[in-house]
Amino acid sequence: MSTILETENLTKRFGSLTANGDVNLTVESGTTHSVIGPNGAGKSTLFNLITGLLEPTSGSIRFNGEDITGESPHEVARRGLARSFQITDVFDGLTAFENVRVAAQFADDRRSSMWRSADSLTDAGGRATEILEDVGLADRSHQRAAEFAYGDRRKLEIGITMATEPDLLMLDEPTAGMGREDTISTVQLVQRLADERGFTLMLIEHDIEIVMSISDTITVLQRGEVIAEGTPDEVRADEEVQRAYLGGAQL
Amino acid sequence: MDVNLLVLQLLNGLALGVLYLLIASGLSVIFGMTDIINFAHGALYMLGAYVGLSVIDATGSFWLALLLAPLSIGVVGVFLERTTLHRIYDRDPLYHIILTFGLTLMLSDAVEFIWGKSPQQFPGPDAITGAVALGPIFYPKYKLFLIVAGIAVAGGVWLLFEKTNFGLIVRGGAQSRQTVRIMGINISNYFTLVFGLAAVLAGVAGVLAGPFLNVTPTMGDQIIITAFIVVVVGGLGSFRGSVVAALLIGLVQSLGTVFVPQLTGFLVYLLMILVLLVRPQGLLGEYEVRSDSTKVTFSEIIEPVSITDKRALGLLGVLALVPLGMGSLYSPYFVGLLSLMFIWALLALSLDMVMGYMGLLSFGHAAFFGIGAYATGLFTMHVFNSFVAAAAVAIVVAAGVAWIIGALSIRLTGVYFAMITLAFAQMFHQLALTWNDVTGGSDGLTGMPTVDLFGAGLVSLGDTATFYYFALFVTVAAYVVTVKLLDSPFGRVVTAIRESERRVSFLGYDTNVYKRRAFALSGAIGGLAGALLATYQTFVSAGTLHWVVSGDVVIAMMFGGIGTLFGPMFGAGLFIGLQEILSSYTDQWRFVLGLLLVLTVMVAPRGLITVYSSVRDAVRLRMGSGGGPQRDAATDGGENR
Amino acid sequence: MADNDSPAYASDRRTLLRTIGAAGAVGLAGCAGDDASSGGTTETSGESSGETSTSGGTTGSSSSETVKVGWLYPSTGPYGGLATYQEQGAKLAIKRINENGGIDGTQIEGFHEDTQADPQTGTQKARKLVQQDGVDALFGCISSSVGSAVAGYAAEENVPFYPDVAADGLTMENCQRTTFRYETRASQTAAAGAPWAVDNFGTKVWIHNADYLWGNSVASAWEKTAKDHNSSVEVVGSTTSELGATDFSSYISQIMSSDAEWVVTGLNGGDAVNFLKQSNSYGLKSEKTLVSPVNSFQFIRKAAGEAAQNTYSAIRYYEGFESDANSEFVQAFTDEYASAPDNFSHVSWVYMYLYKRAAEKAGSFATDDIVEAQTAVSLDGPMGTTSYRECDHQAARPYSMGEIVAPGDYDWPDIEVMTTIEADEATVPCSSVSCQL
Repeated sequence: MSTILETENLTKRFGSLTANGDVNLTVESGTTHSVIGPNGAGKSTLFNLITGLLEPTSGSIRFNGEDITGESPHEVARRGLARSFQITDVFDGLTAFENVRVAAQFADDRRSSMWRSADSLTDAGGRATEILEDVGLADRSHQRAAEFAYGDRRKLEIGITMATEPDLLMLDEPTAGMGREDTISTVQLVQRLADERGFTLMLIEHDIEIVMSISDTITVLQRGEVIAEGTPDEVRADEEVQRAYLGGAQL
Repeated sequence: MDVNLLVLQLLNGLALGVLYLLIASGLSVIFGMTDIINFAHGALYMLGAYVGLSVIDATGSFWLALLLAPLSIGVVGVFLERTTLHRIYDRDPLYHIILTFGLTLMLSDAVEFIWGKSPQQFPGPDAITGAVALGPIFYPKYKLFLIVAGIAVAGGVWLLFEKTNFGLIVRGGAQSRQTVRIMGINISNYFTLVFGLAAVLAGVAGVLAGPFLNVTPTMGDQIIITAFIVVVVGGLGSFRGSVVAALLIGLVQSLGTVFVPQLTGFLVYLLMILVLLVRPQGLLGEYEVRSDSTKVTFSEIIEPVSITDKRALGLLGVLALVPLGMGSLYSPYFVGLLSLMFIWALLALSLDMVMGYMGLLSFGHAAFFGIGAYATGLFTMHVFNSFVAAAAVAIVVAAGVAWIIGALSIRLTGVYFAMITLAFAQMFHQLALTWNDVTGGSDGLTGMPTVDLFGAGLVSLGDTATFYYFALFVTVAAYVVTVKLLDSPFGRVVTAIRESERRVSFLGYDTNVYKRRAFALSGAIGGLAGALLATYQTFVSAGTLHWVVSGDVVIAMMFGGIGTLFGPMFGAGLFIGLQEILSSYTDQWRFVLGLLLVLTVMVAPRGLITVYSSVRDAVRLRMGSGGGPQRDAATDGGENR
Repeated sequence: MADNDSPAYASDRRTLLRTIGAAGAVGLAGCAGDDASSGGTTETSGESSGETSTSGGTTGSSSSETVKVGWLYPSTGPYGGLATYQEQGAKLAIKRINENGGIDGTQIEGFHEDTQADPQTGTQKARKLVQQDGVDALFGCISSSVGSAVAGYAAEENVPFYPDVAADGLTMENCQRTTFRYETRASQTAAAGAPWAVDNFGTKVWIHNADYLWGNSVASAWEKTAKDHNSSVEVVGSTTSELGATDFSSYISQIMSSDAEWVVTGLNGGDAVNFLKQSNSYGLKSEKTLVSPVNSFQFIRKAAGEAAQNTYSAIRYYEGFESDANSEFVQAFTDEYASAPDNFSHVSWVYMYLYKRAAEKAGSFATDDIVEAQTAVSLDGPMGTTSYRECDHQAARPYSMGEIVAPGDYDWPDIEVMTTIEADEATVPCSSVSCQL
């Protein structure tokens, strides 16, 4: 097992507020790694730092052994790191098919060609169809994303991120706001895809039950700092986690 | 420099700044609360001066005017807000701009109709006429009063915002509407109140300006752009920012005329560009503008009509026949007017490409139009009289300028992008006005030859029919190329950027590259339109570069149907045609045009192309053709979100 | 007045017609340099000759018997106020001429368009007038940029153009054989005003102008004329403001802090009014003498009111000018509109009569005939006798300089004439005009 992502003393300050302080995190390739913590613990900030949306105040980030600190989102994405957002971010005005194809198109050398039809990139088109089938939206591929229900938009976003063929997929609360049933099916979908396609999964998730059942490793953040890291069992047993995060209740 | 003069100029700058402050603070507060860029604010200021004038005529009292006129303007403001804006707050800011622009046209025409076009005398209060000695210098008492009164009013407004519940809610609303709603407050009533309050401030400014500046129907047009600049420089939605920026700009203008007179027309725009590049949120902007407040979104995606569509072919067939009727059915003028409409259609196409497809609000497309026109004019005059060669130069220069402007401003979005492109275009306008030796200054570029298509006498474009066919060909070709371009992988990325730039960049695309390239392509088409314009007119005026042209294209684009490529082209043609025809029949043509704009925004937000399809659908339903309305390229209805 | 078609020259009209008719051929000699080949079109109205003109008066205006004239006004935009006067003058003149038998029996049909004070729109409207309405001549405009754009277009289309524009260039650098200007050239008013101002106010002058064609024309003409008159004249400072500027405080402050004795301003319309009003509030008038080429305009005197009083201005026209032709014109205007005419009404009026004279002399409305005849006629207009020079197609007449004083016959400030110079003195000799026709 190799390390795919590693942060070293990653710190982000907004004025006097420390959103992340000396975060050291290691994600092993092929695992499912969850980040949990109470609201305001700095989970999304951590994701934003890793994916280049925010610039760290100090510390470094290594991805597949290379330093990516300070790179912009598109550079990070090109290295094989994809992500979803807390508030679903898809191309509302485009059809589901076009949503995914634009993502799949990136792998093609002709991705910014101006003098041929986008339809001529058959590889991208084929992969888009395939992915839509995978995420269960194949029959609605010509509907605009704006018309999709909440859960389907989430699935579409996952489809988009997958189309870039990432090594690491980071999902920011993929099931937030979903009903129980949707939540389970979405999580199962993601894990199945991760297995099939062999990418590493990293997620922020609130539903502790889900986290416990699917994660290989869990990192617990509090006030921007890592207070525990380990397997679900280890984390469950960690007293500090129980005290600080779970209010002393048994997991 | 003479100390007395310095003191005088400082006072002058202060007085000017206070006037800007009264107008800009209203604009800023409206924006902060509702995200609306109220173009009609200048018209309200102007109306304030006129109502004040009438009060003085009736009562002889300036003080009564200072009380009654602003209140009346407040009532007018509330009325306008309730009847129009209030119903479309959920729409994109573009619609608000167009709507308030329409209201501006209506208001200024109404004022002209009621009070006449001539500047009017606005008597100041007797007690404060003449000058007073301040040490060694004399200064007008009225302007001292203006400074004091303006600061007092602004202070009052500040207290209102800082110390009252009303202010708390308004400031809260500016930060987060949701929070205020959760507190159980009907925020939409506050929108109306804020709009009314801002209108009152505009009215105060109008009356205060009366005795000092001219009272004319155009007084609002001149000040509104400066007021926008103040708001942007100070920070959108920031009252304190407006105060600082208003005084700063007043002083810069006043001192600029002494220290750098040759830069007078450029200074304010330079200042704005500098601020936008270094600190986009403005000097005292406290928060980022909501990203959704500046997005271009559509309820429906309408694909461009294919050129092989039978309606498109039919239209082209009819257009191809037009010159045959010249002289018998109609005059060459009509054919020429159609050519002009093609040129504007081309410009609208160029704008729709970046605005409708990439979501970049360019408010400076006049720059490319004008640069293309000047390049063509200068080239045919001084180098070689050939359209092909001149247009190539025009396209390259316009695209190059667009690329540079794009590169400088690309990290700005929404309103900020609109303002910086406006500033760049206005600088080119100033340049055309002041660079007399090359551009002919305000006189324009005269002495252009009748242009040959290839040069050396080969195919003269001076012939009305020839030019018509040529312009038609170029326009159709540009349309076809643009449609193809947007269907390409590149085009798909561009469209995706409109929907979510962040998402696109997280797929690995460097969005700035795409935006720059698309902007340059758009500039190229704009330059081509300019080349045609110069050829058509054999004359180029600085007016081609004026912001009004940029505004007109934006309006024409919305009028026709943004984001459809063919809609804006129809819109532009129609807009120019209507202006031309209406203005021949009535002096009040701007009122009619304004009314049309307001109605279009209110009733057919996706533009006139949707009116056509809605009507046709209705007819089909009535005729019982069965199966309901067909949904094809142009039939998607115009319901708002 | 029943059979007088013009109050201006009714008495000697027939005599003049005859004289000029005879002298016509001679008068044309001056145009020999012109390309004669283009003049040979066969188009003539063939309708009437000068001798039959008095028989008119009852002609029905069937389409074959009207002459179409196109007028361009900046009705919307910054000069809207001036445009109203201009349009009133034109419409009144057309009406009066038609009532009195038209032009040799041919009724005039007027077409009126709004240039929006924009050269592009102006050219487009001129195009409409020529191509769609089929007008035989173009008139009007006000702003210099529109005027010169339209002049270019009119020359291209070979249509006579009578511009109401005062910038020098139009008849000094870019003369066109189709352009005929009666409106005062900036240098003509400078000739009337600058030497007198130097003699009366001193040699230290400040020049301020709006930065556009006419404004710059004024600045250079006044400077040159003043210096030619007295070599010790010194321009102690010069400033320019944007056209349409509203706040002149900083310029006024600069002038006040200088040691200039008088100020000449190349400002017109709203700019001029603003400058006067703001100067007044600074008390500039008590320190420096204000001189202008145009503040005598009724429009400016009305809008500036008291602020215009005790300033000096060259006079292009004013309603109180004493001449028979003017009192009849003022009477006619007042009867029609219940107000007194302005300079722009007067120019419109004179243009229609000048055109009438040329058409009657030519016996045709064809451009080439009009162009030939126009320089051979003269008119006894409200401001004196006027005629066109052949070298540059600029008309001249006597010019005056006056002081704007307290209201007299009207509600607004009156004018007191201080000095008057003859047409010849005011107009630079043909030899120093850079374009030659």
